[in-house]
Amino acid sequence: MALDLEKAIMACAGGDKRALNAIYEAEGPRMLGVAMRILKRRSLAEEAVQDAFVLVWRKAASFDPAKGAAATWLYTVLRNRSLTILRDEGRAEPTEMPLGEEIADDGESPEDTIARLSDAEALKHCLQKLEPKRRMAIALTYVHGLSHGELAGKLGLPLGTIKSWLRRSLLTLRECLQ
Amino acid sequence: MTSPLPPADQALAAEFALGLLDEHEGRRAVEREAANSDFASEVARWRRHFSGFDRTTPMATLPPDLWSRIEARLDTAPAAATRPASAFDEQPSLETSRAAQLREQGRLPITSGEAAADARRRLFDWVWHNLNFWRFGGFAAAAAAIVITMGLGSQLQQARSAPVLVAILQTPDNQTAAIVNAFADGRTELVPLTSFTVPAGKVLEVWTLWDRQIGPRSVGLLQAMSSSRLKLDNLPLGANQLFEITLEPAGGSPIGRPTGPVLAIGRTAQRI
Repeated sequence: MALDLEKAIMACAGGDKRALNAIYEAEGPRMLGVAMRILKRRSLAEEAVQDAFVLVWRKAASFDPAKGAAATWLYTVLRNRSLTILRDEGRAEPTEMPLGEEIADDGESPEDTIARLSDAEALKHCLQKLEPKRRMAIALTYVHGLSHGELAGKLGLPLGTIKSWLRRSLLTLRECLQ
Repeated sequence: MTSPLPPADQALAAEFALGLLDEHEGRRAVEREAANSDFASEVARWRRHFSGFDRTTPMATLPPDLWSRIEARLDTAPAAATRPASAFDEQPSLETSRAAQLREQGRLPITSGEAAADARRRLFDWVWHNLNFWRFGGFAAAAAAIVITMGLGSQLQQARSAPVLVAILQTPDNQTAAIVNAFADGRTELVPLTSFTVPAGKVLEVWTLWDRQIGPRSVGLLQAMSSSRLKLDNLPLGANQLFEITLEPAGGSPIGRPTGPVLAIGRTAQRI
């Protein structure tokens, strides 16, 4: 039977380590996949997952099911930790990156990622209604953790206009999502 | 998604959910999320929609010792949160395990109870000194390399002016791999000193990083190490700017940021 994530997080708040381990067993592999898409390097991604579980343990009491699904909460903790590692330390550790370390190179394009979204998700249908460049920007930002500057470089848009361009894309997406 | 929020705040909530806000903006958004229920539900809706992407992610194999590494850190972590915290809000006492690792290896001084920000600054300082160490460690090679560079420069018909900024790129095992020369008129060139084996279907990509918030930018793609002009165009260029070469899939990194191993790296220094 699938793990009841909500109950497991609440059990963590009560100090139950077995509940944290159950979350680890059920969600750990996917969490490592999410962290590897953002951080690329396995060692950094493992660090993010490790930190995320420590944070889940500490912050379990602040989880409020009325405010959102347990999975969303769990992955938000993980993504925020991954992005912090990426922005703070990501490229400043040349000696810490041995050549040949396993890196995430699934070669999946943003279009492939969008195509893998479930057909039941409004997000898929609404992204597909956006101009290709706009939906690509949103997918790259969420999935790979690109910053405004990286997006500008990737899409060949001026840095000065990328913020407002992306905001317009998000508001168009929002109209469809309602 | 109906909301009483003005469009600017709707977009802000989306940027917050995507993880695009800088540290200051992020803190303010966390505060707003706690104080304003309209903003909080807008953020929650965006997160719920974007979480579809999480479910598209392929599973990765967990290393056998990861759980024991997590468990070892739990004993010091009280389970009860003392205040409501958003997921965005980092616990200040969470030291990066990277810093802890370095400390174990005796490469960072051992101190206890320092804040995470302090640990991060120390780590940055350490890396910074380490980069300097590299540069001076390879000084003899570098001095020779600059002479060679100037020789090549004349072949490239660029001998009229000497570079104003020079970066010496070194491999992780401290071999000098290439020089980046930037000239007063804005031309920037890469001069190779080591050849790398580039597997089929891969290319060498040159990157520069001048602001960590903005992130690295691609300035050139090479099939093999060769003298080439880098496309800095209107990007800023100054002293201490990072340049690096990574191995990427043919056509360059698919995501606009380095994905492959770093083959060589170095920072610019001003010519005296």
